[in-house]
Amino acid sequence: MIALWLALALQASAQTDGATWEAKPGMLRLGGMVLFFGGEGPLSYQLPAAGSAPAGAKPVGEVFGSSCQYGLSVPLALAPRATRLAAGRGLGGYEKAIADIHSKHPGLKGVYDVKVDTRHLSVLGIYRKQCVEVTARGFQ
Amino acid sequence: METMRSIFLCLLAASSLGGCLYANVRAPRAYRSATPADVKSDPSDPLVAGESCSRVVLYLVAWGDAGYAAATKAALASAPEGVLYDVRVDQKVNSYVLGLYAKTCTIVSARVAKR
Repeated sequence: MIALWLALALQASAQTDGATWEAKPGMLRLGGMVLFFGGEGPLSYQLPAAGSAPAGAKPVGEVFGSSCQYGLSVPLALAPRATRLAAGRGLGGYEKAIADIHSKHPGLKGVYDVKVDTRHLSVLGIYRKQCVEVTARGFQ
Repeated sequence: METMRSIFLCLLAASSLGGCLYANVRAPRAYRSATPADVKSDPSDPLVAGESCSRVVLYLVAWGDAGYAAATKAALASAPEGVLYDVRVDQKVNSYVLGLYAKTCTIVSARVAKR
């Protein structure tokens, strides 16, 4: 049931009720007793639209960048509501994702037509990874 | 009977570990699509559509890519260098037998401008 909730909640949470520059936190959710958390997640980003590339800009095609937060959530017993010990870290925000794009494409001046997705990976509910994935078109 | 009991206990154990055996899904987060004023639009620009889906089975395993990137890529399959504008994005959910199998799709409908 939680997996179904996860799939639907992820979709629902992605509904941009407000503008993209409005704050919409995307921190990794661990649950249980969080012993340590040192992570960074996306909050807001004024996404450049397709027509925002300056005149004379040279398009370089599709570019992709990502940044991730990682977490561990270990149950203390094999019971439905067992206490969990959790920890998390990682730079998973927009800044790191855009920096990842620039590191892969030196000389890139900017991006436009930006699509942002969130990738959730969970293995047995113990290891969790949440990534912000930015797909865009670049220009020089 | 013993086999069924073992399977039930395994599922119960799995559900105690966060209720999800394995999940690897992409979900849409943000997309600032272009309007007709942002691109060189033309009334003859073709109308295209694309979708991307994720699935969950038995409440335990979730997989798929229902993100914006995959949906827009599917919409641009016939014109990879084009730019989508006047974009409408919908979400479709198909759930069967109390959600034992569910599919969630992001559907993108738009026009394609050359640039």
